[in-house]
Amino acid sequence: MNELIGLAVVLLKAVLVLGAVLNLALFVIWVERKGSALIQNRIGANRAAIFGFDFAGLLNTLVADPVKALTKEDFVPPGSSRFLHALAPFLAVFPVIIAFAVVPFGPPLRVAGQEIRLQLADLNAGILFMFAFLSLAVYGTVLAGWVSQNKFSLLGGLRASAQMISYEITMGISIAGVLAAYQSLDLHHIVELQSGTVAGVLPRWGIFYTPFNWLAFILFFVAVMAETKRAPFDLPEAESEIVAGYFTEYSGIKFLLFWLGEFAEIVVASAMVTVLFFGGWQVPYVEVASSALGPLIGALVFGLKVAFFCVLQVVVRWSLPRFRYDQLLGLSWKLMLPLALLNLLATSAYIVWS
Amino acid sequence: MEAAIVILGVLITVCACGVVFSRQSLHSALWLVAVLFLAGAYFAVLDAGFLAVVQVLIYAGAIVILMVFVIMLLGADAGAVKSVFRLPAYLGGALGGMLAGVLIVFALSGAKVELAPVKGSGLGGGTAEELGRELFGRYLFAFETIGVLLFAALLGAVILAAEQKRPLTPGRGLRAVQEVRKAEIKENVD
Repeated sequence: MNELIGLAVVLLKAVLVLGAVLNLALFVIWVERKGSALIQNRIGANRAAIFGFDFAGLLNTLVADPVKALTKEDFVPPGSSRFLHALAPFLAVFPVIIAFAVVPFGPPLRVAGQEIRLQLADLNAGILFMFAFLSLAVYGTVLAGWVSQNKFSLLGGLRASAQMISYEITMGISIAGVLAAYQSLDLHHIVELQSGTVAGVLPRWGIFYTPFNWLAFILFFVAVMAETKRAPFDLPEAESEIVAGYFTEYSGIKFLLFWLGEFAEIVVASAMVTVLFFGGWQVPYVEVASSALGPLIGALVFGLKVAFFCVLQVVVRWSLPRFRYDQLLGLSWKLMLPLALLNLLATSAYIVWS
Repeated sequence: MEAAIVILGVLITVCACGVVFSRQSLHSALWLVAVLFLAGAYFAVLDAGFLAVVQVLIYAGAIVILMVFVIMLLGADAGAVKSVFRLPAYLGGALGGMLAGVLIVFALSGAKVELAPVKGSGLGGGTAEELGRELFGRYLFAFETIGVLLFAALLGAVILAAEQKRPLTPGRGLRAVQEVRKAEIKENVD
């Protein structure tokens, strides 16, 4: 009986996490459509309307776009493999959603003397699990570029693979110092460490945990934005140079899947930033974990923080122009990597001497 | 656990055959990703969670992507292999056959191999902390030696790549072309 309840709890959490990621991704798509319109001083996403009501563009992004994509012709370029052509968008979405499994989204729930962790999989090496699955997502891009039998797509895939590797290294090294300060890879434990305050003033969030963590945050945030392949890092799809890059030959639901993967990546990136640097579900100056409504408030606060970083990424995407390719790689290898190494050194010295 | 190991073993073998017998290098690379991912799953079954995640992160996520990058850089069609049956293939096949023979004889001999989780086996455990203690304690010398070796290889690669970037020799290089052009412009102006 207990096993059955355990299984039910896990299934419930799985449904909850999947629903949360997909809904947040849809929310980001809506923010992107409306936000870009706002930033560019136009009225966006208002074509789909019922009796003149477009529900602030929700009708467009939630109903009209998916229906349009589902009913479009699914074109596969002649001479390419049908199977690999279908596999690529799948590979772009699936690892990203899996990566969300280890994110703790609330303080532990206590029901009938049992503690239920609000986290789908409590892995010892949780943060590395997220890195591993985010790094797998690049295969979707590269495979799409290769299987499209098209020079522009191939260039997009080629650009993506070099960009991903460069920024993944910076991303990993930038948080090495942070993880050394936490002395843990377990995300649940990392969030629990971020309660209380530093010197009674600042919340003890990751960004204030050591004197050097703000640098780690900047480096990590830039690197993770490069991983999502959006402007100013959108060279794999640069419309003004290589048509649409790796998904030039994709239409209909497969194209929509690439889109969904991109926005799911934004959500996962925001979740990573929130958990590592902004206290996860912790509320500043208040101990949420001990109160009865803790799990609910914690989960809500976590959702709000994630939503904030999603919106921030959309604003950055519509504010900055695209890099030139040598600038992109130069930024990673010549500026961010040395800074990340320096940050690791400084944080290690701080940990040893304090 | 044993059932999982057998299933994973079969899957890994199938994917490894895919690596060898694919006609196109990119297909081989994709099969290789599957092999490395399943090897990570194998580690996870043996309770070595950290190793499993790192296996996927480093090998499937980074190393094979570099291979794919090279394959795409050299051209998608240049990677197509005409025939897999060449001398190296025969030699590799013979070696693989011998290894398989040894394994089969070993399995038939009735010797028992204990398949135990890594935890509590005296080899450290599945967590990063235990693995780190082993690497920087008992195996420190081997670890540092491998580090020096990799560093030497890295330096070698940098030197090889830098060699080709020496300025072009005068007479047929870019500078010579520029000088000729300058002279032409001067003549025209004069």
